[in-house]
Amino acid sequence: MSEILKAENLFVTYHDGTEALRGVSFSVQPQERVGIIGPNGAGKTSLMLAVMRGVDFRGRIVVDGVELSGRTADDVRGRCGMTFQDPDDQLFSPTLLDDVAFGPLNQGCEPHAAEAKSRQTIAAVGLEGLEGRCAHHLSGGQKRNATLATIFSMQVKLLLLDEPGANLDFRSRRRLIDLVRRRDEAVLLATHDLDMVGELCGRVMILDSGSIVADGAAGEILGDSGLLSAHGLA
Amino acid sequence: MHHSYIDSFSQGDSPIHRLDARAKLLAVIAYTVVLVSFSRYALAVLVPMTIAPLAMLWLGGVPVRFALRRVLVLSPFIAALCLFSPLYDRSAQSGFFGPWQFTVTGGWLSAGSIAAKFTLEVLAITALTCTTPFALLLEAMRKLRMPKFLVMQLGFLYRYIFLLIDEAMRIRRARDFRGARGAPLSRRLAAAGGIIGSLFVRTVERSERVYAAMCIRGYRGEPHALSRLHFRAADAIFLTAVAGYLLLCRWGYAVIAH
Repeated sequence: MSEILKAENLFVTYHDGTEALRGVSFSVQPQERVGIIGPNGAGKTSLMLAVMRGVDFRGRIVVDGVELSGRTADDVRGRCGMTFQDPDDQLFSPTLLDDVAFGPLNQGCEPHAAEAKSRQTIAAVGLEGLEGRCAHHLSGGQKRNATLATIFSMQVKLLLLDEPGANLDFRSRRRLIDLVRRRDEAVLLATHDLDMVGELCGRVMILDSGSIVADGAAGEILGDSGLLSAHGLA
Repeated sequence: MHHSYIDSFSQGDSPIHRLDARAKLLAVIAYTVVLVSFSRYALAVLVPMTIAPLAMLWLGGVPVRFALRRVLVLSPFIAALCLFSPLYDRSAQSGFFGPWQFTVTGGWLSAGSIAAKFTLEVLAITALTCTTPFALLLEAMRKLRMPKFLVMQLGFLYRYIFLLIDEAMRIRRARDFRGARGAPLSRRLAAAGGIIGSLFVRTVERSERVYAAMCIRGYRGEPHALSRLHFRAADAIFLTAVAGYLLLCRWGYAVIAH
């Protein structure tokens, strides 16, 4: 089976000289759920942004057989969906329905089809009846589910979830885990929530100072307290 | 944090709510054009112009007191203009109000006219925004061929203005909790400058993240939108009625002026 995501020798350096990624290489199989854990500033968000070409990078990224470049960025973005750490960055439209329909409309969906698909997705994430609400009127948990709806409606093959459980109460976090677990897409989950990684992911990578320092089965890595504490995770 | 939202009451279900957003927007634009077409000394003619916004507010179930509060909130913007008007225009003008005739300076008349027009306009806009969800208003603007990027920016303004206010309130609270209230004025002013700078930087950073989020979901510089508006017979009747009413107001004024 060919990989859904392949990254080779990835480097990301910001304008102020900060090296966010230093030679990262890994691959993700279709339907595989991979957790990326690491301390603050390890490069988790930069890695996700690089896959979406949200930051400049050196190296090679191939998504679903398409090599990422300036020319193919739109094509690749149609195959991946990313949620941001702060839902207010992701939910920018006047209503929830507009937000969820934004992706399908950009993918060339007819307005009535985009609306039908969006309503269906909103119902699937448990937000039925809130279609006309502005994101500012949603609770923290609802906003998180809404961010998921914005990418679920695009029918992508790879989900990049950046800290999806941040600031969620127990019930909202539980609901979010259930929503992600029901999906067929491959998932790259960046988080500090080791329990969530344990529940959702079969494989875990530890990213520290821009490099992958461990990559293996979730049970093995999460059970290694020495490894976790060496990288500020326990 | 709780705010008074731009489109409070807009989720109601009155005859005015059910009208197409385009019909209401066109009606308010036409109302505005007729309102500003009256002479700056014409006061009495503005009385019949109060009927339309008040009727829209009443039929839409929007409390007039709420609308008048909005007028009050926005009045500082117009107050200076009204206050200075009597100083600049000292020409003597004869005024009529029903059977009463009086002579005042033109400045006082134009100050009254500015205040009255401002009040009526705010009432009309409040009637529009409080009976139309903002998303539909934006869609109406798009359908009426208003510049698409202007419409998009209005959408962002609606989405993020309260977030910005929340951030400002949080920063101010954090400042106050650290004893800034008792500090000398110079230090408080410096802190206020810092807050504004911090808000500006945060806003720029957020705009970059929002733009990245848009691009990631396929945005290529061409805004697309859902289509939820339906122009029905009731909308055509409403527009015709408004046009008739405005023509009557304007024609009535022309007769009085001559």
